[in-house]
Amino acid sequence: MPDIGVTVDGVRHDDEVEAWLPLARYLRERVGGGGVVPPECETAECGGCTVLVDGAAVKSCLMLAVQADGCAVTTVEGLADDLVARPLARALRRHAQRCARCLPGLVVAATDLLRNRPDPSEQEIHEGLAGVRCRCGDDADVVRAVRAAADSLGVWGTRQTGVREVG
Amino acid sequence: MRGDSGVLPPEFEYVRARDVAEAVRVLADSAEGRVLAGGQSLLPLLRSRRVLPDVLVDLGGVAELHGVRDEGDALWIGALSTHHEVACDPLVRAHAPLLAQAAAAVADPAVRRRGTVGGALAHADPVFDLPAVAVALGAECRVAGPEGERGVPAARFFVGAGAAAIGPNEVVTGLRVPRWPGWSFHYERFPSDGRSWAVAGAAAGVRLVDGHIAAARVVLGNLGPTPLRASAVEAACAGLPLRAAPVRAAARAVDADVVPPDAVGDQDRQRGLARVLAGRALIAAAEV
Repeated sequence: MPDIGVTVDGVRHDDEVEAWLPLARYLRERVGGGGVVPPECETAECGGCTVLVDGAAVKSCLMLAVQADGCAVTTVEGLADDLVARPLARALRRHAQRCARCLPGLVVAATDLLRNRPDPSEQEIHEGLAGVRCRCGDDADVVRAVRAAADSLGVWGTRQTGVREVG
Repeated sequence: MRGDSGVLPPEFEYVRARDVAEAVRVLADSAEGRVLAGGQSLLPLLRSRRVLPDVLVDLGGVAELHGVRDEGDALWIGALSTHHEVACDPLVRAHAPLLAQAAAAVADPAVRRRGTVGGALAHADPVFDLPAVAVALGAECRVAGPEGERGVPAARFFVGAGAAAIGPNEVVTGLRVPRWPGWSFHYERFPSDGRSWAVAGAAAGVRLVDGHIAAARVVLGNLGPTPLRASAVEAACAGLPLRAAPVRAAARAVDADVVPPDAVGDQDRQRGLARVLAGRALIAAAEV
């Protein structure tokens, strides 16, 4: 079995993994508590398992754990104190949350979006979050929530101080 | 861990190739070896057991397959370039903007971060956006095998739905996209938003001379098993004045190109999509 070394939410993990093991399942069953990466839809449709791999939002069900060797993985838990993710999670809970199954994926994907585009249009939010499906809520609510988070970040100086990554 | 709920990939041997030569060697020594690049198409195929490899050769660490190079008359795009990288690359945006535009239309942002040009070519799925665009740009797919590297024109690379002209021991190494001085291109797809697969797409290019369309190229995607060159539309466009109405009328000639004996679905709908998308792509390319 291949050996991998992955940093997950700042903690280094050296593991022997089966080559076929998807990253989502590795994160859920070997690394984290159950809430880090929600159960997979198995079809890459839901996007709930979206995590940051070296800073880019990707679907962890569409990656093998071996492909994350040497990478830094950030789950929603690793974003708990993130300047961008915190207001996003708050806004999503307030405006858009229904069953919350998509919430971890949405927070991660929206964090990637706002880091690269701090002042997105509604269309850009819609396109930027296309990989994560909210099934019981309303797309428009999700867009509203992300817009609200972007506004609050603007108020608190993110845009003014240029806290962003250029991607 | 196996055997609980959920569909997991089958078991296989895993090899992380250091270079293309090693990847080719491992494929040649395997019975049913498969190449892993970004995995955005392969993982669903593995999970659904439509692909059962004995060996999976991971190209992720092969440095020579990354990046974009200016080769003078053409751009070389490494097979491991992701759709996101292609969409953002300054060289691609300057010299092959059609490719950047199509790359930005692929699936969703998360898939674009991992999905690669080589994967999109090798899977040759008709619903992908890249095949029609590669044919429209007269691109050349670079393929390496035990006998060395060769180039296959995109027009001959896609041989059927999900079938590309690559041998079992070959690896896609890149895409060479020639420059098109004096031409401008545009890609249209339906639906236009990336939330679902392209039901149909059209890549069109025009060369303008003195306010007329001197020449046009139109290639339709997902209206047959392989990209379809709309030569009747191209012929009808030649010499047209730069106005939307005659271009749209010329796109009606697409009926002669869309001969879908094996097309799936309603043929009137296919022809309608082809006409509308070809017209829109031409009008946008000509900026009329």
